[in-house]
Amino acid sequence: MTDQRFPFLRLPDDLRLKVLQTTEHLEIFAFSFTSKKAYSIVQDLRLPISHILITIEKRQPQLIVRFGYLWVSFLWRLSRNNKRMTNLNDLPARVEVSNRNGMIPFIWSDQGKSIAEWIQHLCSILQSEKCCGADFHVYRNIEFDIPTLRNVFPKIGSIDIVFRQEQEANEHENLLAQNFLKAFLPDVQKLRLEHVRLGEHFSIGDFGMANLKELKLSYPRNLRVDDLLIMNAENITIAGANLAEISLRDLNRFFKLWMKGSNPKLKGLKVWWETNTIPDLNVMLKGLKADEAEIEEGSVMFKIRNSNGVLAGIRSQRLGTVVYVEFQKLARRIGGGGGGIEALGGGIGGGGGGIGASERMEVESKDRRWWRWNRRIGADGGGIGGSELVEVESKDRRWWRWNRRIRAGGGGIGGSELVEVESEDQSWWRWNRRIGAGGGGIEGSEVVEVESEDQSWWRWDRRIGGGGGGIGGSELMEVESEDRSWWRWNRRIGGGGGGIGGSELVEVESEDRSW
Amino acid sequence: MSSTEQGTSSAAPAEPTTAPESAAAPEVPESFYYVHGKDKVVHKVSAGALQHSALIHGMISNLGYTEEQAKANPFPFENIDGDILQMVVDWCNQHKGKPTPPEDTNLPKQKEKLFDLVLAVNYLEIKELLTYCCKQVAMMVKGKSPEEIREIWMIPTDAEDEAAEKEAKKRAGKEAAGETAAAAGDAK
Repeated sequence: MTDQRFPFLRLPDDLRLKVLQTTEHLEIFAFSFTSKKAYSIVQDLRLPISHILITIEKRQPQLIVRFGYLWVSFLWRLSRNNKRMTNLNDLPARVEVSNRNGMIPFIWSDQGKSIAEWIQHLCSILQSEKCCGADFHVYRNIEFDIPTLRNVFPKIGSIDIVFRQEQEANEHENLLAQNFLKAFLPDVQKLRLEHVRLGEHFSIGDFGMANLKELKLSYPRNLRVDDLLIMNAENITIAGANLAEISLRDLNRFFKLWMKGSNPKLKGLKVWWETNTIPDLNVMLKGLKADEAEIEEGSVMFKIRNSNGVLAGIRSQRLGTVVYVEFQKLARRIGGGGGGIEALGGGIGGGGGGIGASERMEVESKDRRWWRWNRRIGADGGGIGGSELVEVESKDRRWWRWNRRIRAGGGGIGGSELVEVESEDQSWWRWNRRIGAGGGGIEGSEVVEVESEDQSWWRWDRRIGGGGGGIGGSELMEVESEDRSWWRWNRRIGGGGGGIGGSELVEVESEDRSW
Repeated sequence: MSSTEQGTSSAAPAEPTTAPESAAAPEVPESFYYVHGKDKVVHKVSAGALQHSALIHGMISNLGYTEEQAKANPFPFENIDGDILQMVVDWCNQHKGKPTPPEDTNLPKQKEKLFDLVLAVNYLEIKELLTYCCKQVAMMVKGKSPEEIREIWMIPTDAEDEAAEKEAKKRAGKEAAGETAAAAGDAK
């Protein structure tokens, strides 16, 4: 033990706070166990957690707290002879605490607390409402009743219930799993069931009616396509489905029923099987009257529409022995119009010999994780020959790219191509775009700056100088997004010689970016 | 402490030393101020070094002392021990006009003085030094268990806290009773 001493609690409050702000999370947790006063000081810190994951498992129950990319793990060892946890009142023999991969963990004593008290202590410091997840492993010789579970755990946003694989369910385990579900289902938004046997562990009615954001069934047994029809979750994933229970023919039936109006809340369905046979996609698409649209090289989306006019896309992929089918609800369609640009947000007036037609096909955002659109501006007159903004796509918001091609027209723009814009970690991005002078067309064009600090806002100015017979002038005045919940822009293209007479995209606005 | 162009300390205000002559372009002569702590030992510090302290910098700006006035009226910091003030003055001199590095190796090493140093630095509003000191306090418990932290940071147990609270209540009760008795005696 060190001989250093420092009377920490004699410091004034503001200095205590300053010291704790420079102390690492692991030591702050340790400090919280030293006394009630210290616990209260740490509670007042309101540590900025991003997620807590509690794993209730027979030999190594664990709690991991995440602070962005930093984390602290508490692993409760029950005893040296591999004792199993029988209930939450068990006292751990020691607690292994770590905050880096590969480190030798620090060993703490049980602090005179049972596992339940440890969970309560840590969660009460962290004020973990809505950012807490829990994995419950179902096994014999463990007792959890609903009041205890509700009392010990905070409100949990997502739970995983993990059943033992390939073993007969017994009454005790079924009851235990029911208790996990009943204790937390009212608050849960994401539910994952692993190795669940429907009709034995749970009936579909036990969880299917819940208004879940996400339901994931990993390696389920006894799951039928009829079960999918009564599920109320917005997104359903069936990982490791049994081809004998849910086949492509079954999915075909499901899609047909969706087209007739079933599962109106469903936004996405992902199913994958492991199989050595090459599936016949025609079986899945039979009778759907799907429109085919290529979205990426080698990947085709089939579009179907339900009785309410809602559009959805179906994609399928085969990776090794895994066959993957994804169904995704798409956003509404805004149709294109006649001579001018007819409908795009607030309306765009038609130009003389300018842009013939415009159609914003799709703008879509799934919980703000990705979005895409296609926009086509048909060729006309002596103006811009053709323009196509092919794709803007963002997977989990980490990257996106697009291609935009404005083909050379008569007297129009010589050539322009914004090939790729890509952002890793999305923390900032900027670019310069230059369009070289064309024949008699636009003299020069430059997107000067697009910049995003922590994604909270972005704007740009674009100016295209007037040229000879081409577009007189074009200015994309501003694109701005406050906390990314909405955005709008004004674009004005002044009249030029033989080019586009006049065009104004007045406003495009998106509330919560869902469309 | 020997007299230097940056700082000096003596029992009485020292004669200001001659400002260093620069071989290059002529510079404005640096002004000096004087501070003393509980031990009354006066430290001569340049205005540049004192800029680290928001408190002293504010006093200098508000008072508008001339060199002579400053010499005759050293700033008194009676609540700061002489050796602590010496540490602070040394740190300010070492970091005069320099950007402060993220890790400061010039911090006082005596851990037993750290508490007084933190309070003094907080009082004098020396932001960078306070940050370093707080980091030092935090580093004392790095990788320690709750039991070790309790010992290093001298955290009383709950039982000790309760006993101290009871004792404080008892004392407050006695003092209140004494005051009542004294008031009654005065009334008679």
